[in-house]
Amino acid sequence: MEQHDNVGRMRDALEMFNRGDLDAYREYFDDDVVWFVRGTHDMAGAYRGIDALFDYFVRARQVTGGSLRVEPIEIVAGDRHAGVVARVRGSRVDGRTLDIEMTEAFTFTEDGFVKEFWALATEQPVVDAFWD
Amino acid sequence: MNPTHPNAIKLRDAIDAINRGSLDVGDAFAPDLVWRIVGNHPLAGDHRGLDSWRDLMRRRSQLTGGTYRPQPQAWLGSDRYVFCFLRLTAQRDDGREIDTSHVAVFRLGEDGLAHEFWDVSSDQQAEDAFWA
Repeated sequence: MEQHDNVGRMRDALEMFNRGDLDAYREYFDDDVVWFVRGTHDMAGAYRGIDALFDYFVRARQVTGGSLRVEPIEIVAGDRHAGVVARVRGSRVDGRTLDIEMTEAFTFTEDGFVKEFWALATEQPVVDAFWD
Repeated sequence: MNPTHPNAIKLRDAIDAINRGSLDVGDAFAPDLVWRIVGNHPLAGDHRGLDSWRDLMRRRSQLTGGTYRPQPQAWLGSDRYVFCFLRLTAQRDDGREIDTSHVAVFRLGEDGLAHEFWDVSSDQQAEDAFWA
């Protein structure tokens, strides 16, 4: 059956993230985006606004030496929502590695920019240990 | 938004029936269903099988005295996954309230039945405090 345009849009956005093209990735977000990072680790919390969010992305790329990859297993989308199941992999400069499945929820503004994000990993303790 | 994928329609109808008080979901849920509630509270954990799932529904309903109200905003489906975006409101006897955004995810087997469910709240601390 026919896919919603936002499925392709999410796929393209993740491709920009994986390539490390944060300028292109930024184009998908609303200025007032709120991004929730679950867990007890150093980077957990709510990032409010596009500048705070991209500071976080830059930091996440730095500590992983650009190795972080979000590989979609499934993307579903409608006009105002998208759900992603993804394999997330990366390594820290000190040798710690991450390889988990994540469920990600995105909501969009009326004009299609990412407004809100929250997510769940299959194994939160692994995520906490990786980012600490 | 109305669901378009047949799997999304099937699970929407099942959840609608549950929200009207039915616990008969044999044509949508597999007998070995695993219903995962994440968090750090008495309802959290992996509830395996339909009997265990029915117990969970009864406990949830007792704790919230009929105020448990999931308000679906979008049902999105594919051949293997169904995502429901929703707003949840509920109250406890002692006056505690919750109002959170969720995405509920069903993983389907090749038999077209839901074998796994998990729920991702945008605010896990609020969930833990509410259900504690």
